[in-house]
Amino acid sequence: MTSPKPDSQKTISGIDVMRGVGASKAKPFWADAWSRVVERRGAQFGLVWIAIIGFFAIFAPVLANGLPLWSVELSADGEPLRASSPIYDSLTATDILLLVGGILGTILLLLPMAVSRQKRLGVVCVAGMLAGLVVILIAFVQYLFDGAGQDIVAWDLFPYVVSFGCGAIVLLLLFWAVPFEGIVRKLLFGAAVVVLTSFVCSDRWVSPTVSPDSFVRGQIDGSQRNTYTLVPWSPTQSNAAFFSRRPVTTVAEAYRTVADEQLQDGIAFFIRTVAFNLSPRLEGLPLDGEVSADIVELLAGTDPDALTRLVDAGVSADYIGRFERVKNELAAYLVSIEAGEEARASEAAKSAVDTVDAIEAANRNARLMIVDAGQELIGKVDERVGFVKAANEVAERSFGGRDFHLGTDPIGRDVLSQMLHACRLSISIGLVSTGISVLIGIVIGSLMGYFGGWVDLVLSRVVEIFMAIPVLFLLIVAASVLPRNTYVMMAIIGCVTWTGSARFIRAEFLKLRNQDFVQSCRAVGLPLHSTLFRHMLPNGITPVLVQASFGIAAAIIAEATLSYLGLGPYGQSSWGKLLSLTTGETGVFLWWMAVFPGAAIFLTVLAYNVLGENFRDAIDPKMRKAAH
Amino acid sequence: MLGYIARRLLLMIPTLLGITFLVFMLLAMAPGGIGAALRAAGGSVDADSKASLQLLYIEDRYGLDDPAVVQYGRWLARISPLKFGERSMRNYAGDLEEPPRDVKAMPMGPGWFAGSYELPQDLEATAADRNRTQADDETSARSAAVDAALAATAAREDEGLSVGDDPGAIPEYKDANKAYLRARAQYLMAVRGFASSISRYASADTLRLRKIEVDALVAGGVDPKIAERQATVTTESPFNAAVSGNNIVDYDLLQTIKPVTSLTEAWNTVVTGYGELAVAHAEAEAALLRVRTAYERGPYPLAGVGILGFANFDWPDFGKSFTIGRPVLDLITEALPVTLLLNVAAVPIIYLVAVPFGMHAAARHNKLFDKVSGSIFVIFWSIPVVWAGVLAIGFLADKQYLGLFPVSGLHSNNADEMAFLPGWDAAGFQAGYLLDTLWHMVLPVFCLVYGGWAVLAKQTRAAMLDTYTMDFVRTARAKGVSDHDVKWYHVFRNSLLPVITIFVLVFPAMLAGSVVVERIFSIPGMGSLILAAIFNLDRDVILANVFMIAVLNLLALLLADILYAAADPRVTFD
Repeated sequence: MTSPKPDSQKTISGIDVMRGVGASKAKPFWADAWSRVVERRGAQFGLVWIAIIGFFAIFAPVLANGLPLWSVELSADGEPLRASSPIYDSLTATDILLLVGGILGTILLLLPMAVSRQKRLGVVCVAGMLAGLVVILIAFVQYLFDGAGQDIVAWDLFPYVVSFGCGAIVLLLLFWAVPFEGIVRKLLFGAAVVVLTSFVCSDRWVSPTVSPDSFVRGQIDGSQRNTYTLVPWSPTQSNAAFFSRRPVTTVAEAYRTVADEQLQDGIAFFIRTVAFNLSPRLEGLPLDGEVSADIVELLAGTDPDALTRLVDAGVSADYIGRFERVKNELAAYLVSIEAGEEARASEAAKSAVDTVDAIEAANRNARLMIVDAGQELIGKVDERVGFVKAANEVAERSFGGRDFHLGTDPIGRDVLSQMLHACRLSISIGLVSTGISVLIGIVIGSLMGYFGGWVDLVLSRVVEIFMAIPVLFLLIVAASVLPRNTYVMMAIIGCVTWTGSARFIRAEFLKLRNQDFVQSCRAVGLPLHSTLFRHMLPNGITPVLVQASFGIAAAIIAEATLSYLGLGPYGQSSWGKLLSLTTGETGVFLWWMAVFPGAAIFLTVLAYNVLGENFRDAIDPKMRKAAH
Repeated sequence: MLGYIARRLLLMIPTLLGITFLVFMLLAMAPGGIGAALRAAGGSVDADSKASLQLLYIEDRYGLDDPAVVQYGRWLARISPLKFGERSMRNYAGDLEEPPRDVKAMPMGPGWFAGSYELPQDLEATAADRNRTQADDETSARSAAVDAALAATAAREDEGLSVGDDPGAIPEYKDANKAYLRARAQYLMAVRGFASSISRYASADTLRLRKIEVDALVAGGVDPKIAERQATVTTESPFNAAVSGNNIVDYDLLQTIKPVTSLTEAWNTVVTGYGELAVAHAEAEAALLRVRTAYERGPYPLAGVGILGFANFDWPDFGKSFTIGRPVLDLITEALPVTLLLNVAAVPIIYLVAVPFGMHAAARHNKLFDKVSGSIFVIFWSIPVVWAGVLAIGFLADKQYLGLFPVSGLHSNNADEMAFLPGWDAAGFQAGYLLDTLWHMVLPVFCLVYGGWAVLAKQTRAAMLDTYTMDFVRTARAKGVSDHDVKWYHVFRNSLLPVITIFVLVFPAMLAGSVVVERIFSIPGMGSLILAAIFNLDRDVILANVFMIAVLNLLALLLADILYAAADPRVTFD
């Protein structure tokens, strides 16, 4: 095969061609398809985006964490006592394994070496698979021992026994998958991976819980000197002062806004209490819901037509005058409090309350409520002073200068930090659940295609079962009754979406099973699994692998949809979960909660879809013919 | 062809069984099993409460103590149109009146108590006594109710209205049935009470045995604390083996263990519990006798069409929603039109946009239009519906931003007062019911269609491209047929087939899509119904919906295949 772009523009003769000028070595099928795909713009975008998500999936716990990277405890006179790295202490076994594996794997893949890159990729993948299985098995054992047998769990060596036991099981079952020659090498490499994994898992048996707030306090009172990472917020770190803050708000601004919000809330509460508790028997004040609403509008000054409406409704000039007075006093209260003149503010509040007191309340209870609201309004002056003082204090510290780059959610947690931590879920859900679905699909599809007959008939019913009902229904039913964790979620999505690949494999195998090489496999008496998976599968797997890219995209959408519906895994940040908080608890639409997580889901899905399209085009012979 | 269709229809049956079985088993895996929500509510209820009656209904329908597979079999028998056994009746409201079910046998006989402890001899007599006095009370109350009903019938007769052959049968049956339900609910509660008394007795016995063990160890010179720990681990009452969590007792096993009567307090509870049980059982039996007689009088016409006396055909019985308390079929017939309305509006929009774009892209293969429209459709395809919905509501519908569209629902609050068509009156332009509904539908329908555009446009383009490479197209071009004619008469017609058959597949897919869309826009359609049912584990609603959607889907698949073969002579039914 000639390379599509000859090195020189010079015309070459037939003799040159025979000498091999402009020719390049033929590549294996997948390598050729890969080189075609990489040339395309869309695929480049897809790969870059997935690489970015993958990077954050590995490094998010180090990049976005409310714990300091480095914390030095100071004595009273500012001398450093001892130093530690709270982030390192808080990493879970999975975090550490991913960090180590991510860094070592990347180095192994990028370094120029004699061994081909394809082989090195195989080694990295197998190592990842072994480690992953050990971690999952250990998690399962932990789940089994969760409630029962306190004596065993309390035993000191229990973590080590479980970790290394699980490691040994995985090693014995799967060491043959290591792509090295010879059993000894396979075992040695497998053992190295498994021992590392088991050691890390037993070392971090219980995930450490350290509160970021204690370090914030330490920093503020000067007992610690902390160095933070790029995004100094943990995904679960929340604070009442940070509810629903816009992007690019600093902590100091958030505190200051709290002071303003408290003030506005207080005034609004006072106005509402007054308007809805006045006496309906009063001369010249026909009270019903609409009049009360208009009084609220008038006092708050939000609707200029409220006055005319009240006059039309027959409110006497006496009362209009009183309401006007209250309104002016409230305005004076607001202005003076914002100018920092507390005495005048208190006075204005008191006179507003007095004016209201002259109006008759509906009954005793209503009167008490009005009086209470008035007292609260006066009290707001002192409260405000406290809030402003706290905000100013925070603003002076480095803590006050911290930014919420993408805002916070309605519970006061940083959105960017949650989004970075959700990358891991997105990547792993896509890859693992599609892996499960392709595996099931290959096994069932190859049996259907190879045997035909009644095997095909029976298994076709099974496939039809999953096609007869929309996948989303099954997902929702399964997710609502099964335990809510990431592993179960992956398994559910994988077990429900395998029919597509089964059908592809079946169609390919139906074509292949009468070909000569399959006949000869049968003739020489190869065992079934060898015929199916060693000889037929490599010839028929191409459409399934291309489809897998779309499958990953679909799995990510499925996860986002389930999380949006509130059926996602517990205790795990997820883009879909963030999206579901868009309208918050107050019903106010927070645009940053909709735009950023949604865009992350969209771009990731788009990346996989574009990659899949490009792969399909690159290996589709018909399209290639049409293109030439 | 008829043979093919018949075979496909027959093959649908195992598929339907499979899918309902799958969903049933999934629901059975819910923590606490299928009736968990109800059981939780019925934890401490008295026999008269609505919850205990509902629990009884569920027990009757599924037998919650049976294994899940048996429960599934029961559900199947209910929805099967072919029914065996005694025929039910259908009352004049259209509900089934089933033959009264037998009272469950007592979990165990009094033999267990024999030898070690004598049950009070007069237990049976007490039951009979209580029964008699209660029956007397009830007879007077009942006869009053029946008398009133008879008087009403007589009045109808006086007015010349028709009355049945046996005018007293219906009030008597209703009354007897109500009393029987109550008696059974009481019996159910008594069974649970007895089970919990056994479980308490087992724990008391465990404590007793441990104390003996500890005493023995301490006498042997072991430190009391260590002895206690050891006893906790080693000693277990044999009764514990018969009792599993949630007060489920294995009575067969229990019978084989000799009771220990020295634990007076716990033992007394057991005896009292058994007495309650026996009384409740006797009462339930008496009530059963009465209701059976009333049922055999034939108050209502028989349901279904009988075959040869041993089976009958009847409509499937999909049961009632236990959260809403209404028949499932009613709920579905209310919700389905809403979802259909959305989809009927969406499908033509998908076709009108996607087919022309796909065609044009194929004609301009690898030109700018093809590439741009291709990328735009991939982008549309990648937008998750949840995101599109949230953005649409936030930016287009929320008053905070543009506020152009309504935020939720399918009608305005005052839609009932509107005229159907738009028009003008004193207050200016009035949108009317039709426009109002359409206006509410804009955003949901958009969320339903944009994904379909991408799929259909891609299919159209691929089908057209396939046809463009055919020999007859080359021949037509060689003859000098104009591009326009080649596109419309040679290519388009021949690529239309897959596009038509997709229609059948688009519809079920949109049914799934509407789950999310209806949730986002709070539209009371099938999607909302199903989601609510799933969150409440409302088994009958979920199963009926799954069954219906599966039937719809399988029929659509069959229709697609038939259409395909009908439209393309190259495809045969083999």
